[in-house]
Amino acid sequence: MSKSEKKIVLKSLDNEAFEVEKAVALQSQTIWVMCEDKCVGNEIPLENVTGQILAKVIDYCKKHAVVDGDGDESSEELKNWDTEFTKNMDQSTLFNMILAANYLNIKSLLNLTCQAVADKTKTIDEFHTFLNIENNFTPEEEAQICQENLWAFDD
Amino acid sequence: MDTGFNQKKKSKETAAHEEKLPRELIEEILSRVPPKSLVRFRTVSKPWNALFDDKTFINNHQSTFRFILKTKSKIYSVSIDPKIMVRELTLNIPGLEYQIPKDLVECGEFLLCSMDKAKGAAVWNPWLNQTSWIKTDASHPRIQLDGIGYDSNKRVEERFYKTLWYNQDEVDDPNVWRVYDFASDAWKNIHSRSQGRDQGKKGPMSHSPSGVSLNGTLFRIVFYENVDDPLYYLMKFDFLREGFFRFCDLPCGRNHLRDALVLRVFKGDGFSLLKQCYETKKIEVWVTKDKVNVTNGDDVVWMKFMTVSVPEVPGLVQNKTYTDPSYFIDDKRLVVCFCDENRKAWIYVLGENKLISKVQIDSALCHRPLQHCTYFPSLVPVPRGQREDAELQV
Repeated sequence: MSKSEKKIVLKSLDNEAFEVEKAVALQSQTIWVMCEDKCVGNEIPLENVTGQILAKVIDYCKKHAVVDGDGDESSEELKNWDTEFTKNMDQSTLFNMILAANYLNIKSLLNLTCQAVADKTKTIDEFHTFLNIENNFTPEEEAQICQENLWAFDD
Repeated sequence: MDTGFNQKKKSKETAAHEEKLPRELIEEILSRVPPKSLVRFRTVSKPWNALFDDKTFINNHQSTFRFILKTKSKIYSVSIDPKIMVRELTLNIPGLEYQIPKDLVECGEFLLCSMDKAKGAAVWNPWLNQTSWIKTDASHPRIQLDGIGYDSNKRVEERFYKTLWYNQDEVDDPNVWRVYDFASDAWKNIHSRSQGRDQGKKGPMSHSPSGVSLNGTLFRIVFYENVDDPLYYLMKFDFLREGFFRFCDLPCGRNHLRDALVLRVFKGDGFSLLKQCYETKKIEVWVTKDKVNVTNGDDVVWMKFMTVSVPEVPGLVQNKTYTDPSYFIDDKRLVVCFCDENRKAWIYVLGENKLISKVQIDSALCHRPLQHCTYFPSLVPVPRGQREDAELQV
């Protein structure tokens, strides 16, 4: 297998294989480093990402690989595509997309998914469930903080 | 054992997933949450509540900024990293909608807005877009808000803000200063003559139009006008003792009216001082060596932080108005905002004896700014008086 091989295979945690253009996959810094360092041939095992999530990550990378270099005209279209891309993702998918974007080190996808969570999560309860964080305030402490910041709850 | 198991089971049912995001990813998300929502999320958990008070977190937030510019009709924020971004800010004071302050003064966590002809002034947190209006009493129509502070000995939750005002009608009267206390909704006259030193008959002159706030205490550069070699030092206004006091000497003064001399807070608990010589354009910056104790300035030691003497740097003091530049220190960089002779605003980033970058702020977007100041966002709510609190409850 020569280095000039155009396509590589990404293998998910649950052994799903995806054949993609190298230019698409190399948007991930993690894959880029793996290709440089390991000489793993054309199959890259990604142990932290499931097939379901990897498929979405590849969709994103394909879109961004194609449009890059097309000039400014398409930047608006790309933005709209990004919005649509995260619009209907459920909490669990978004959560795993963030982890995958972080692991694969795709900065723009991490920005996009984090922004989507920040936009979608409006209430304290939503944040509790999304981030799986327990409230460790006593009811008294909580009431005090609410009292001090009453103005922020007025709309 | 049982209780622990049940708790775990419960959290499994409510959470969308069993895993937790690493802290840096949670911060990544939170740095995109609008400031006002952050305040609401204070009750999510203790570590988050602490994170929201962390200056590093606030300063890395996606909507953070570093400078404020005011034009004739608009107010803008300017963020620096990764690139310069200018955004319009809206100031909504009930009853004075869409009015632009005559004077905008940065004071610690807040911006102080003096409105033309309005009988009062506003304390504004531009990041939260929250204002508190202070109505002045009819007997002092030409009184101007000068600074805000609190008793520095108190813990955060016991902090009661007071404001310091300058009475323009009574310049010859020693009681030209007044203090308004939010908690008691009361005004008080202050004897302005500095204590501890009485050099000559005339009191010290203030170098800058506004003070700098450190731990609730106001500081300003003052000098004695009627001596051959003007002596520059720091004077403080102590909100506990409600008086002016000489604090410490400065490492330099001015030799020319158009020398720049600007005091700033450095790393949250010290001072920095920038001087630019009008003749040579050489910039020197000093910082205080240790944490400054606001109750006693005797131990303050200044050390040289940076010198920049390169031909690319112009005079930073604005023509005619003699307005000093605004600046902050970011690690080893000095970031300066000033207006040139054509009233175009510039951001210069300087390193030790070198110009790193310079950018002109888009003048189509922000045309001929009248005022600029350094301002770092905060989540500190503006203080409210008892009267306002009562109105809110109704």
